[in-house]
Amino acid sequence: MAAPASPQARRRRPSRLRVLLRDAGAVVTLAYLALLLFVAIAASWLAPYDPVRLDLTATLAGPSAAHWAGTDDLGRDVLSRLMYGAGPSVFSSIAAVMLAAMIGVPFGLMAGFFGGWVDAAIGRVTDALLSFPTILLAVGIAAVLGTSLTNAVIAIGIAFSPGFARLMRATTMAVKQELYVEAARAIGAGPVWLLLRHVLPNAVTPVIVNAGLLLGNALLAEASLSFLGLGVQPPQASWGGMLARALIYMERAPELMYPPGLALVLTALAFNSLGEMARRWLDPRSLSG
Amino acid sequence: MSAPAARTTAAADPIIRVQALKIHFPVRGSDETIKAVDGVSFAVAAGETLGVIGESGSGKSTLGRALVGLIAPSAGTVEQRGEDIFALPARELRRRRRDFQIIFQDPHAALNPRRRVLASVREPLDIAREGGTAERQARALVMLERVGIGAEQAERYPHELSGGQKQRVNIARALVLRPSILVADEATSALDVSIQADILNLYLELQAEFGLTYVCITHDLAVAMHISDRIAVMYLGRFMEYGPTAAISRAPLHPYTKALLSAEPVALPSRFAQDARIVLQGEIPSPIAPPSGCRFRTRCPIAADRCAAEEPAWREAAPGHWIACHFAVSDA
Amino acid sequence: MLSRNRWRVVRRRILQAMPTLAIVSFISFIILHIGPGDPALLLAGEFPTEESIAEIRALYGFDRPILVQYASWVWQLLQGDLGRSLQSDEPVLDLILNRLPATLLIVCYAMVIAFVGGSVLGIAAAARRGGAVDRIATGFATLADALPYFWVAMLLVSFLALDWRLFPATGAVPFSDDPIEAIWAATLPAIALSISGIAQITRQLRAAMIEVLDSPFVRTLRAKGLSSRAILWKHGMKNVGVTLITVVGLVFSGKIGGTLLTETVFAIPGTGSALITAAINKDYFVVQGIIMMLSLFVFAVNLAVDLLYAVLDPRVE
Repeated sequence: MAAPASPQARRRRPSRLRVLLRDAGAVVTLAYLALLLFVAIAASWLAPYDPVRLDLTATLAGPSAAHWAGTDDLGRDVLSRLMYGAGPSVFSSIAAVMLAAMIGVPFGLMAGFFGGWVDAAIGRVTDALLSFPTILLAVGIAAVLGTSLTNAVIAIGIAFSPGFARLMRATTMAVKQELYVEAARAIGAGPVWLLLRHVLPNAVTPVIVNAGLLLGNALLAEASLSFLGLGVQPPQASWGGMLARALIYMERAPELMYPPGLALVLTALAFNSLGEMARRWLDPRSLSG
Repeated sequence: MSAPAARTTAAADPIIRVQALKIHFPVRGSDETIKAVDGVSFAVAAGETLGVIGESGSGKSTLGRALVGLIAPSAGTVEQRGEDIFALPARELRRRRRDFQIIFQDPHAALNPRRRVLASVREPLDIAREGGTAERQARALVMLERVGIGAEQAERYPHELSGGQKQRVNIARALVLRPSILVADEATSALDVSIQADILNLYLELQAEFGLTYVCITHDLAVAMHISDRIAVMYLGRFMEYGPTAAISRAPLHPYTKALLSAEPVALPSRFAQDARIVLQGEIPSPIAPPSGCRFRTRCPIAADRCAAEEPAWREAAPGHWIACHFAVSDA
Repeated sequence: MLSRNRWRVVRRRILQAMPTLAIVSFISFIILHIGPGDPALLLAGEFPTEESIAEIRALYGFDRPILVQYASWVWQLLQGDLGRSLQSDEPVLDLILNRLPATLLIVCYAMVIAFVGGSVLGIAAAARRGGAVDRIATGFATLADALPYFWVAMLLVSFLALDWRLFPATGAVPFSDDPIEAIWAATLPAIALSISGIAQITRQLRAAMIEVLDSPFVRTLRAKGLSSRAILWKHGMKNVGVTLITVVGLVFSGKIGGTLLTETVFAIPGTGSALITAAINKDYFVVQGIIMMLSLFVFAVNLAVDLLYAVLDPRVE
């Protein structure tokens, strides 16, 4: 009889959460994202002003006690617009990445698992889609669907999906070779069982990491579409849209480009760092009973 | 003779019967094939243990996988209880798998790292939809208990168990559906020597308890001799010698078997140690283009011109004792 | 001269590219035909009637099966006919050709900046790992991933063009009019466009160089007393070329996408800004033509990289 694994060995390993919290960068990231999420959800209670209320007596005013971040060309409160803009930015990037994964993952899984002509067919379309620059594809799709935030999310989701398909295909092909997949076949598992119980759970980690890393890209893509007038439509507030206004009034009020620009950069940094954290978090060695 | 005789070489009513089995793999970017198994015939009687011995690259693992229907043959048949398993529709083959199970060499790689071992052991029952969830859970726990894994360890993930414990889990998983045939592919060679003996004894206990028929694939002669009733010696996709364990250990006929036995350091009768050690020269040749005539001739100490020109017949040198060699003769 | 083996690889790559090219064109075709928008509705003017819509459908052939429409579109495409703008009635091909030089200028300019900047940063970072340059380069690469093109462009305009008046804030000078002025005017857009490329190349080169410098071979050389600098130049540099080739396609694709935003910020009359205007105005044939054209460029660059690989790959022989 082999000795049972010593219980100390298990206790000595610190919990994943504790390891994560020891990293200062991770703490700052999580704190920022928590704050952002709170602002995005509670913008209507937190914002000092109505984000679409015009005040033509106070246009392009710099920061003041009444307007901490100043006002825009129509006298709207920049801070309130920034807060209201957080929701569309954050939730649409999450939605776009989820959509991209929902489209790309099944195709990549099938291509990698079944191989043969299924793989060839999916591979061709994936290659073709990848040869469109992402934002170009998104602009094309947004142009067809019409200009709205929902359509921008769909456009970004479609544009990002071939990346997921290719990644999923590669990891599926690697996992398919694992002995435990063959072992499961030996106990009578059929293709669907193998895919859902063995291949997918073990191939999904890179996908989740990729999703985390893509959140930042999706955020910037959504901001780009809104900046170009293909996403959130005025007068609704969005960070990209605010930058579009700032561009027009750049000579008279250059300070208008800072609040939404910094918000975008900080959020994208936080999302990217979240992706890195996901990579460490999802290492299968960190699972424990 | 292109393939060994399709005549089988064991008991009258075998549970496993393999006939003229060939498994060739295509080589990427080439018209050539790897001839992993290249014409093998044998049978195993119910309740017996067949040991298949070979170096790495002999095709023994491929043979093991074919026995349990994991690799389809290029030619020939594998019959379990008189039925050609590769002639069955895919769905039917999956249903029959419960009767023939396999244990792999690497106990860690054979377990899904994201499932608790109890879930892995319960999985065959889940797939077969046997009984309710609670019943499956209970049966899996009983089987784990039988192989020496307690309820507390059952709740762990594979990486939290030792190699020997993991192999016990794999055994429980293979036996939970009560198969009649168990193929063990180097099932102890990845383990520490001290644990190997425990696991081997577990195999023997379980064989008696469940009436199992074993095919034990190994490169380790001592292991094969310890647990087998009959032994087959495999080289480059072919059997070189096949016969009762006692006969082969006492009087091996094929030069390859003799070489393997003489290289064995311990656990063999002392008179082998007195013989001059036969040292095999060189590496095992490529299974893409095996040597002409006798495959073993490039490393054989007694090879002659005839061995390159003519393939040796698969002949019965003594009752139940078969060899493929032009020169070897029975002393009996 | 290329050997027969290499020719065979090159031919196979080109043949493999054909179906992908067909799919690229098909996707850019159906992008405009599966959507809810109906070009006939737009063409029918402000007060469409059932009859006028049907008439326009028949006129443009929108009533035919989609594959037939695709075939005739490809046929026209091969004859250089991309249709006409719904907005200005200008032939789409003329519109693209007029605007392409401005786009190509800033894209190529940005590529040059990205490759020079990225190579210098990447090699310098790898040479002194963990040093100040390395930390700056890695930090920059991390930051660049989070920087929106258009915001960088706006910052550049605000400081370098509006505050310090070093560069023109907007517009472009045709290269054929005055090459020096044209390049000068394209500098800020090219810098804005190059940022993410610099980051990509820095990261890739740094990783490739470190891999070489950590290899057992190089460690042996170091143990034999060869100086770090000599190792870096003699052995590290061999990997630079290969690494740079692998990222060309990726970086080029990024620049083509980024040009949509950069041209918009700088009001450059290129294909990118034309695409955005057309997309907002639902000028279908212009959108289709430009997407097709720009994708073809990306596709061609990727194919060229593949072919270059086939020619340089030592394993082919």
